[in-house]
Amino acid sequence: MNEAAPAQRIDAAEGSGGAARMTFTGRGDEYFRIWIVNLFLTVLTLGIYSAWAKVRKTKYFWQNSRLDGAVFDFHGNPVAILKGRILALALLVAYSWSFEFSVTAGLVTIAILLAVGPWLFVKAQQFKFGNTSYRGLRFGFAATYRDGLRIVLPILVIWFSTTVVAAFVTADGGGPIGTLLLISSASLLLLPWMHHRLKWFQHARATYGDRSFAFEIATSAFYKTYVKAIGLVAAGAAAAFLASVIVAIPLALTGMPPPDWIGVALAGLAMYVFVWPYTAARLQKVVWDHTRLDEMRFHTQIAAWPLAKLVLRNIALTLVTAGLYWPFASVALARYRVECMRIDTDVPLPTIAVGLQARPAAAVGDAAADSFGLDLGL
Amino acid sequence: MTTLAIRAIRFDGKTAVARSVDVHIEGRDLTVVDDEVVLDRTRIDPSRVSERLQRAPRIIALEQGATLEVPDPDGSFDRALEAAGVEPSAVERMQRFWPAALCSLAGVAILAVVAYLHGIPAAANWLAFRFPPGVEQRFGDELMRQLDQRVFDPSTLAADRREAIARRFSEAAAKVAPDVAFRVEYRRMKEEAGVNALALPNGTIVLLDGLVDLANDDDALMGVLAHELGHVAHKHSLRTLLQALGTGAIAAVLWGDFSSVAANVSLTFGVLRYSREFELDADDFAIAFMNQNGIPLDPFADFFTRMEDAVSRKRGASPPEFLSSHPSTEERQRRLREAQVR
Repeated sequence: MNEAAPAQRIDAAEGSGGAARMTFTGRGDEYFRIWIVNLFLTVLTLGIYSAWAKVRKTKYFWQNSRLDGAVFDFHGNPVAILKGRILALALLVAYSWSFEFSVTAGLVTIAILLAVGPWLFVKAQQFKFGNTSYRGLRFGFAATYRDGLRIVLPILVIWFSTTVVAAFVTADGGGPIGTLLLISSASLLLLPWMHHRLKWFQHARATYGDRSFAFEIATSAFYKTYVKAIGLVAAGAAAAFLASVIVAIPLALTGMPPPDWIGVALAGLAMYVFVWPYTAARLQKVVWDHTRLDEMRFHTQIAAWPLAKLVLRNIALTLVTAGLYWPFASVALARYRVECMRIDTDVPLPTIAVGLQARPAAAVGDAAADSFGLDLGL
Repeated sequence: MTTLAIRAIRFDGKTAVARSVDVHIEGRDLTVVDDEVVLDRTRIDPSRVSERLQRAPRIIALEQGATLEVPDPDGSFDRALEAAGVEPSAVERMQRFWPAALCSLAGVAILAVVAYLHGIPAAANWLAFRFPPGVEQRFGDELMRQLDQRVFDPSTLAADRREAIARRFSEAAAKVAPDVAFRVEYRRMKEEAGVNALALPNGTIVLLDGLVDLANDDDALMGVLAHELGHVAHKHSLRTLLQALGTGAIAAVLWGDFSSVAANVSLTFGVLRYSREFELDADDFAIAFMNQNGIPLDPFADFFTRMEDAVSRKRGASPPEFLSSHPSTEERQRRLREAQVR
């Protein structure tokens, strides 16, 4: 076997340099069949197949994502995903029901979550990145449990503080009600900070081959986006209120009592259709604009309005078809998000490729990349 | 013996360099050649070949971390691979074949309906009667503690009236269901008397003052208590909880990917239907209870009308049945009157 011949022949078509775009080749009708077979086998096996389904789905989306003539691939082990899901389910059940059981049980559960949460976060990232490859090299997540504790634990403490204090408050306003108000408003104010901290941890510790990604701090950009999103929510709520009044008037004239859920439903829809895409698009832009891999800079041209139109279309068609449009919607969304990605570099990509080496085995954090698969939706 | 040469990209797994190569398949052997130099020669191992997708390249893992990405727009590479023993798995065949995919769709629908109508209720019933009793007791005690703290005040009914109702009911229950442990507690709501009665998982039956006042008839109250005892005897609280978990799991599998709102909506509708079934089940228990004790059912049936009037005065018209946790009053009264032993 002949490796590393000094004069590598590289396709001229690939070496455009300057900027590279990603393309997505997945199709809704093809993914529909993968999706429905996955769903059927998952229901048939009482959920166990869901781990294998997840691998098939992830492989489909990565193998159809193309950059500079090569595709991405996913190598996750379904058994690891199944283990992760069982653990996540156990923690979720414990968290949901422990406070019904007793305050002590609730506090013990939260203490366990605080200890295990950072570890799970790190493991989940290692699984996700470590099992993704491009051009024969693996991505990775170089962080230890200690890093996880340092970065994630403060976020978890803030997140759970409201729940813990609320457990001691009685209905007539007894107990630490002042503390509760203080803590819940402080956690709300810290939400953009927490979100940024997680994104920063994810992107700054990610690796590709022997290189590390870098992420510039962008806390203020996160705050700006959140403030604008809150403004949109307020506008949406005002519009929804107006709409519910308009709907209620004819009902009142016919003598029917005005249904109070209409306003709530409209506000929810407005929120989902406009505010979510706006925030998602803006934050994606912020995150990628601040991410680098050596001389490669990342950009996404994702924009609020096209994303909102796409989401509206996806929701409408998914509802009309009782869910059958969902795989087509997933493909459309993936195509938009993938094809918005651009990589800018002064050096042609093939030149960079020559210098990119595989990560030496047994480097920090790679050891247990196969032990746990967990969806965190982050 | 088929021979085929196809252009592909090879990555050596050590750098990110893409190398254009020719891939030959001869029988079961795969050879990777670049400019007359043979880079790999290997027997094809089906487990190292990725599944075929319409527009993605075929990915083949070679020795020592090297990989091949083989574009296959006309399917010729796939045919060569099949000839070399790379057979699609059963799942892959289903995914490629439209009729099989549509059968899967029908299968999902059938399984979901069967699980919802039969599987989940049966599993919850089986599990509920094998649950450690301590847990149920704990849930009930904690719930009662929280209700006392947040919504209930002590009852203001006269003590002898409370005792009389409880004594008459206990004697009747001893005849019909001697092995069901229960306790009757009296409370009122913080703001109002509260027209309601409820059964907790630990066997506590709570009667609110408003209901006792509104009923103003001991036979009707026996019906209410018997109905609640039905919930206790058939472990409806625990079964509701377990069935909600089961329905939630199905809803999450079917719609959780799309939206947690859609999943929650279907969960809510699903659980409401279960709840109406349990109400009718508790009514049946009450009917048997009353008939065996020779207590007339008509006062209990009449009481439903008064109760509905009282509730609608406060909250407006009642919602349609599919939106409600209880079956319609007319339906319940009809069942009670039909069961009255004349």
